[in-house]
Amino acid sequence: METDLNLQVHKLDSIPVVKLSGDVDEFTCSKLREKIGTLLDEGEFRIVIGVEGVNYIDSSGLGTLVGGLRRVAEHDGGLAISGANQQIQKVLAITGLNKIFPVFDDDHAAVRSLKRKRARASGS
Amino acid sequence: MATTPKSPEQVDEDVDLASVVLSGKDGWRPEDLKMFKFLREVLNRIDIAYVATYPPQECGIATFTRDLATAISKYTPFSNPMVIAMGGEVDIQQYPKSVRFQIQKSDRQSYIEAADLINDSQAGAVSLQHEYGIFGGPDGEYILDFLDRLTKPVIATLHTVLFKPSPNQKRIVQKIAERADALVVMVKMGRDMLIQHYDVPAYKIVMIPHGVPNVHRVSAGTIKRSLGIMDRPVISTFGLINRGKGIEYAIQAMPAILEKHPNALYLVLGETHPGVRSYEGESYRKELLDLVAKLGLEKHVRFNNRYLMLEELINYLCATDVCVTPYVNRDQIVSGALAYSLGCGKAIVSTPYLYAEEVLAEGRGLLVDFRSPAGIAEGTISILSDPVLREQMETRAYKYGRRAAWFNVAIDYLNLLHELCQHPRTKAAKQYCDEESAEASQRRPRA
Repeated sequence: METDLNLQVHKLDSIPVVKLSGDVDEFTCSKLREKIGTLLDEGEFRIVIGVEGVNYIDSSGLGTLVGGLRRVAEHDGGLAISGANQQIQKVLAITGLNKIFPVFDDDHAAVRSLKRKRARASGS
Repeated sequence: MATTPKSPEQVDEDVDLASVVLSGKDGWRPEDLKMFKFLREVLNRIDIAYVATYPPQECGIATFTRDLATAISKYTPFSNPMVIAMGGEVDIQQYPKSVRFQIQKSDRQSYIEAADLINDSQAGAVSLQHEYGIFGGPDGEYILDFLDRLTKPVIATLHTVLFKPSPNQKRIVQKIAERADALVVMVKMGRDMLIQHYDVPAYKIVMIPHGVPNVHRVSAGTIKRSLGIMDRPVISTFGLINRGKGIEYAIQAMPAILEKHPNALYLVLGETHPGVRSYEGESYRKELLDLVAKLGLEKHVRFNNRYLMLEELINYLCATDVCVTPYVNRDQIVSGALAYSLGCGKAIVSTPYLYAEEVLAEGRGLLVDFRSPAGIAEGTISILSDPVLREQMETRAYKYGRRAAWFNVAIDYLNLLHELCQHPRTKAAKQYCDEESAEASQRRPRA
């Protein structure tokens, strides 16, 4: 059973998608925080976090996502989640974070949402 | 492969949801306050009153309650939990601030006062930890006074469900079931027993596993080296020591184990249970020491006679090759020690008490007869001598234990609490929730 966290980044329609596999918890969340930081340094302020391969997420994982959201929000960006399994959806609903993070079935839908947000922000 | 938590510097202590929202590593800048206010508005909040023993009281339920409350609070930054501690040997001043009141075990008025305090508080629900012995009166029946007075939704977690209860013990559980909005048991067997022997309606019973610490798997070698037990096959039993542990049978198994593994070491980790110490002192431990001397096992059995902090305990567990729970009480429906062993992904040899029988099914451990040194020896030798069997067993145990990590268990409890606050199942709680709902709608500004 994979508990370590692996991250792979690819771009979908110019938006970075961070694909996670393993567990996002107190031991591994620093990897995600660093990855988000790297993307911000590269000027990427709209990010999809793909959690399809995540077994479990704990409060540290959620804290990392909220921290990431704060940082992209400073640049009027956005952070969307894709591929959440039932357990992760339950965690987001129980905490109320589902009202903060848009959750999508797949990466394409998440990317489209972030692009629409950008389009609305720029008035186009 | 064994397991261990990573060293403290590898853990991000300040990144859980509550820390990030309430302070964060960088704090909230003035321009971020809008988001902070938004979070405060949308994040779910539930104020829970825990009624149980609580550290520094040394007992398994106290540890359980603290771990549960801590895990839940990490998900609910804007909640305000409180603890009503069952009095023991601890002075109220020694408790953390979250402990607002101490029930004096033998004082019935104290139970009424605790209920009044919760009724008048912001608490939206009560999490009661039940074990007959922690409450006053015959079989701890004074807790019924508390429940009769209480008006809020209650979740009662049952740490003991007796197969053959006395009439009074049965009556108490039935009364708790009547008043509680949900009963939590930690194994399916508990649910079956409540339905069959206590006539508790099935809809009131919820299965949530015993929580375990979050531990990631790493090699045992490093930990063994740090503990000075390198190259020794390590067998261990841990927890607060009492006669129900059956440690004498594991000690008697050691000569046979040593024939196959001459360097083996059996660790007995933990002090005598304070409750046991109060009536028989250290006589059980002394008997065990005498047995070790009689069998000439001084170099192969080591006692660590103190209350172990979590990190230290996990370290010992990680260094362990085989965990043994040689308990003698068939009715035991939960064991924190066994739950922790699973959470750490250990190979386990156990007697078939109810909890062990269920959680060690499907190859997650070996069951041996009660009071059987030969059985313990055979099971332990088979694991120590077969790395493939051991690895399979560890992996199965770890996978099972992972689901029971506290961060998952907290979500299960939160899920149940939210559901009960919205749809209480008892008359008292329904009345309370209806009144709260009416007040909330009056407070809401009109459009």
